[in-house]
Amino acid sequence: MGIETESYAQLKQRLARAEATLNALRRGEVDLVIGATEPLVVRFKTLVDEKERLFQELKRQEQALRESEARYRVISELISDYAYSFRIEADGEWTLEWVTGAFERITGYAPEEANGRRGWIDLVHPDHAPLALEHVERLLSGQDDVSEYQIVRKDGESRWLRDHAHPMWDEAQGRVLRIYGAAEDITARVQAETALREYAERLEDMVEARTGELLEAQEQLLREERLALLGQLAGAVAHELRHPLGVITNVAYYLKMKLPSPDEAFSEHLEIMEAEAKAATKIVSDLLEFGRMVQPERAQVGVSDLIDSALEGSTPGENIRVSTRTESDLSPAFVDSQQIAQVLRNLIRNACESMPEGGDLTISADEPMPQETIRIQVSDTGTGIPPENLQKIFKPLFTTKPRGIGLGLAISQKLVEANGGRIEVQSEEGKGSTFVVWLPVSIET
Amino acid sequence: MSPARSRQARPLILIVDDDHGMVRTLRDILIAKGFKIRVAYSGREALEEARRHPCDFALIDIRMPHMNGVQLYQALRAVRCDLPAVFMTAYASEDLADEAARLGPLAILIKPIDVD
Repeated sequence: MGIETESYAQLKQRLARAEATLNALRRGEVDLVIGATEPLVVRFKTLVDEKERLFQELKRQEQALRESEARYRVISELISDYAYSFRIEADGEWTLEWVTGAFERITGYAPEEANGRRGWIDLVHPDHAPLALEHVERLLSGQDDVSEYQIVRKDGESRWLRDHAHPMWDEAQGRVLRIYGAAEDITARVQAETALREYAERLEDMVEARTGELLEAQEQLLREERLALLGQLAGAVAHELRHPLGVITNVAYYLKMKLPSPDEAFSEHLEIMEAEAKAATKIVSDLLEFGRMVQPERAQVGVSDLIDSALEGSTPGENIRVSTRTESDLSPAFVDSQQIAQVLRNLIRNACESMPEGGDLTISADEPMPQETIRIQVSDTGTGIPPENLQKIFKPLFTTKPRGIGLGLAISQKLVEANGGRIEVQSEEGKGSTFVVWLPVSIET
Repeated sequence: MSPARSRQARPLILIVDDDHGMVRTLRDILIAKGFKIRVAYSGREALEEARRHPCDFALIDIRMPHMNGVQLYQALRAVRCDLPAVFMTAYASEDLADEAARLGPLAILIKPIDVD
């Protein structure tokens, strides 16, 4: 539109606008007018007010942010868990861009140190690396994940962590750009759980063991009750048998004495009668002995004397070679000499009976632990004891002999134990057996 | 036991036991060994025998009905305080045997007795 083409009315209208603008300028309502034909009215004051308003708003927001940050920092330092954020680069590199102070308290590493290492995975306990890698895989596929694993602190100590993590998926790049998370130190809880589990297991074992003991004790009690009853009965019978046995022995003795010149068969029968009466007497004596254990009267006893006294009361067959090996400077044993001699006699008799075709009977004594225990060993080269019987031979009423009621070794064990010792057996079938008697050494040497 | 060790040439032994078989066999054996023998089957009989035939030696069973061997020995010693005696018992250890032992006999023999 050219000036030439302006009409009067248009000019008059422009003038009126110019005057109005001028008046507004004069009144101070307008600060600046730009343009000649179409003046642009600028009001500075409004602009300044607006600027001031924006400035104040900014200040207010900055203050709120500072307060929020400060509050957040204080809280994040106060809570025991640590929060973190990892930046994931396109090349797969993780950078710990932010972490709260508890990280250093829990791991012992400063955040920069953790970054300097081969990333966070280096903190994980080697045993738990597979767990941690699965955790990472789930996160990188965009899933939230909670995982528990162990880390190794800078000072070498292991800690358990429970790690809640949330990945930020970027649709444009089609990958996770950041991972935010919080890790909780659950070491105390895991330790308590482990201790509880171990205790429960131990408790189970203890209960099992105790149940076994109780069952064993119950069986033992039953065995002992049966034996006690049997012992009473047997004792009563044994007592009554002693009289007739005595009379039979007397009769045999009298006949042998009085018959002027008995023929061979007659003598033999008398011998058999005497021997049988003697065997019966032995059974009766064992029964009585087992039912009524006499308290030992312990005193210092020379070990050689014990062995000599045992051998004196024994009658090994002619086809048995007897040898004794006693160390010269043995301490005296502290035992009831009669009871231990009885034990040794019993062992010697058993040894001889295991060698019906003859063999070697060796009795040796030594002191493996000076001033503590004497060891007397009675060895034979007889039939030996089958392994399945080794555990049973000291049990009352167990016998492998064609005759006898199986009390000899049970009595021997009771007597040795009553004297503070113990008795063991080693045997190989077909090679022979060795009974070992351990006796306490006299305290007053 | 041998007569030679006794005070007289043929010492008199009093055997006291309620078991007839025992008394009979012991009697015959000891007679064969050269002793003179009197027997009794109870304490009362024994006291009667001892009064009529003062013996040199008594062989007494400890456990007898009515009057036991210990009581009998005490009664016998009331008459003759130095009477030597040997007790017999089937019970190796019992209160009566312990009591008998305190009376100081020559021996306490456990049945069956080894006659030698």
